Amino acid sequence: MADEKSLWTGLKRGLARRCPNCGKGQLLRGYLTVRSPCEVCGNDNLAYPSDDFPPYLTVFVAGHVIVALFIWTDNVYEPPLWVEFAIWLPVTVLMCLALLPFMKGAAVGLCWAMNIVRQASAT
Amino acid sequence: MLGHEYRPPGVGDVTSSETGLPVLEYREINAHLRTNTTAFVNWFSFFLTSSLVAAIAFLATGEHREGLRGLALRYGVPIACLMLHVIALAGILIFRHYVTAAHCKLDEIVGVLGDTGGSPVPVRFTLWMTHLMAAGFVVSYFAWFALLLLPQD
Repeated sequence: MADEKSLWTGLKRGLARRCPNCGKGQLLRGYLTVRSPCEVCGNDNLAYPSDDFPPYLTVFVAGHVIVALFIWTDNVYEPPLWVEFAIWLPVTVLMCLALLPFMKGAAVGLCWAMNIVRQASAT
Repeated sequence: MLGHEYRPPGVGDVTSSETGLPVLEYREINAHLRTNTTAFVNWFSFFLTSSLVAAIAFLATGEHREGLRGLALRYGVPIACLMLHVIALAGILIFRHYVTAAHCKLDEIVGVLGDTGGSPVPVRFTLWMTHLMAAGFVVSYFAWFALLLLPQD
């Protein structure tokens, strides 16, 4: 069932929120909870310590988009400051919330591809 | 009889609780961790302060950048600083991994020695400390990213 591990495979399956091992089972239950074992291949996806990496990735991706758009709109339309805040603060929050599950999947996929597993006594 | 306690010179009892290898390893890891944590925190504080001061200086001297050299500075400096941030991010991630690995190893040694205390590494505190570092990193990184995109006056 499991293919040969590669970074691309792990990232692709993770970004699609699928089990990185088989690519078929759902990786997440609800918003961010990792489903383990996988309902298709039985892989223990909780063993991959994504930890704080998904929020880091989310901020990294969302930041580039938001900062670039913010500067562009400010430069082209020159809206008042309150309009900028009224637009970009909610957009930033919504974008981060929308991206987080995909980044969680990508982080789990990355750990799967690189054979990074949780150590027993790590917190 | 004198000399009956004589034994040939050796490495001593490596399983003794005072000088055994696990104890030595425990002390070494603790000392290593203490030194490296101090060094990393100092280095990161220096990096963050330098980066923010440099960003302010870059913004304040905008009108002095003219011609081809000015254009090179206009884009070269922010790009170089953004590259340095990649190293800083790698540093944060490696530091987190290092602290967690040291914590696990100390836990293991304490278990081998039959003690119930567990690892003395304040791992949660250290992880929170790296969260704060990451927050400073994000501010600094996106300040430089914004400086890269800001239109030239």
